[in-house]
Amino acid sequence: MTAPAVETRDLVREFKGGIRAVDGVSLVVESGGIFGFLGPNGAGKSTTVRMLTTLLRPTGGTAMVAGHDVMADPDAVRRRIGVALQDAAIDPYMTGRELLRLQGVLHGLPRAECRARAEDLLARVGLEDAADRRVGTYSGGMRRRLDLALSLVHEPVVLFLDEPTTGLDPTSRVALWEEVRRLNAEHGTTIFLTTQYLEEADQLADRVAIIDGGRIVADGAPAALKADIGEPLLTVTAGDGSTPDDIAGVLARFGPIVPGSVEGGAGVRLPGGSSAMADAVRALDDAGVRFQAIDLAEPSLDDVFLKCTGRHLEGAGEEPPAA
Amino acid sequence: MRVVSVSLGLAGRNLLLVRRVPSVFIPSLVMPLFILIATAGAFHGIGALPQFAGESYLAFTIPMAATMGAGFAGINSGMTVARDLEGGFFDRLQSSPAPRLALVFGPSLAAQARSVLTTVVVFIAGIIGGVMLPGVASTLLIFVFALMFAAAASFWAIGVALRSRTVQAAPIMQLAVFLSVFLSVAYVPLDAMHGWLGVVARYNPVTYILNAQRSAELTGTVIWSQTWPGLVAAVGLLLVLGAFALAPLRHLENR
Repeated sequence: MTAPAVETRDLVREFKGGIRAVDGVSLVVESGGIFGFLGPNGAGKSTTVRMLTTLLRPTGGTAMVAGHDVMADPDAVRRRIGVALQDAAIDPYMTGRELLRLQGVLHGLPRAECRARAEDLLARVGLEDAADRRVGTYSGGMRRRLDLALSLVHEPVVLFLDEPTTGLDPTSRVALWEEVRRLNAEHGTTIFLTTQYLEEADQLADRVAIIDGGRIVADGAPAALKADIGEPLLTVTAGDGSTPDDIAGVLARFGPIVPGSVEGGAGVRLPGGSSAMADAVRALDDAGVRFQAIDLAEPSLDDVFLKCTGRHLEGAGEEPPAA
Repeated sequence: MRVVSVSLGLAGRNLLLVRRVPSVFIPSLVMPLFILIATAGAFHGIGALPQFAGESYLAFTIPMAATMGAGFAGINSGMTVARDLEGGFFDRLQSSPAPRLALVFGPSLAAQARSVLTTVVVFIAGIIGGVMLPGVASTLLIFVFALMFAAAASFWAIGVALRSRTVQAAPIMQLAVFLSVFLSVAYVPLDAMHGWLGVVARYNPVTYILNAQRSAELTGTVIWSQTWPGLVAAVGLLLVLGAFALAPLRHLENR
């Protein structure tokens, strides 16, 4: 049986002043999948990744990556992982080709193999034409692609991508998603991806863990997590002459009101889904409550986050910012 | 063997900056020249003191300028490490299975290579000023001491960088190297120094490095009695500062 790609038990990282950035995280990530680690800024995602990639020593708990203990045998872990951190750590004065060759040297590849791997990866991420340009002249998307290529030089079995699309334009973002999917499908590389974008986790990951305040608040397949939330959410925004309380008064007949679901209105989980929506509209009409907008939304990962923490994920429903 | 190959790879990357960002390297090339010209120009009169025995003051100053140039080369490597730590490039090195020793030895090798260049430039300036090369063995000895001082200075600067993790620590890197040279026999021989400065210079290892270089420069021969104290001082500096640079490697993951 294959060892899990990542296995942590009660992982803790406490910084000076008693600040617990990661507070007892237990995870099992099976080999061969795409794992999404979702959470708002400051939730503990990057700190967890830094511990799993041997950059930061845990202050409590255990962590095994690719079958090796990050504290007892960090070099064995380093040989098996690829790392692309949040701020693409690339030297702006070097060219893409030079950086790829240096990365090969760092991983102990023979010189000829360093050269061959560099050419292969430049072609794979579409940077052949820019290979001899200084990285400082690359666009944000090109830097991310190079960063991804650098993390693949030694053909890792587990690839850590820390917020890989933050700051990218939508086209570059989709291109990177495609490359991640291809890498997983064709090479069987396990991907451990952190993100604060719901759409990214939903699109890419076959399993998601949501972290908040250093603790895991939900863990499972995105579809299963959303199914646990239950019924679609009907939100109604109050129109002229009516108030959110008027709306809530009518919708309460269909189920418990979901607090904070829409500004200037009210929301309710509709057991009947779209077929019950007509009943709700009729009830609002009968009560003479005017409304401005009505929306029926399937449960999202933000709903999962809302259910677990009582608040929305930062940036939920927003497009990732353009570069 | 991996320590060697990775160190060479990292040194090569460090030296690329010399070509691609001349503004970083040029000051460390110009400063020793400036020190050589300014010192020899301003103080050439003291060459008439009996302690100089009629030697050219420019020739007397050449080893000091070469040593200072080597010190600048070392500081430069420390600043590169600090920039890598601040900018995140060091995370790439740290998350790879590269031998930890290479993370110090690589930049240090680059400093030693740069010190060769600064020493060549100092010698050329000397030749222009009328001071010929002192002979093959003596010239090589001056280069060897410059290399060792560059390595020692780089260990100091890298040790500071690994502890502070910021380029803002550059003044600390520079101050120690400046003081170590200026509080030695940089300007006059030991027997012409009095008071506290003389005491400090007597216990300063750089004094013995400069004395060894000067004996080679001024006599044109390698005099063992003058050379071995310099070698002991240089090796001592390398051991102490090497330990200073390598110690933080064991705690990199604790931050």
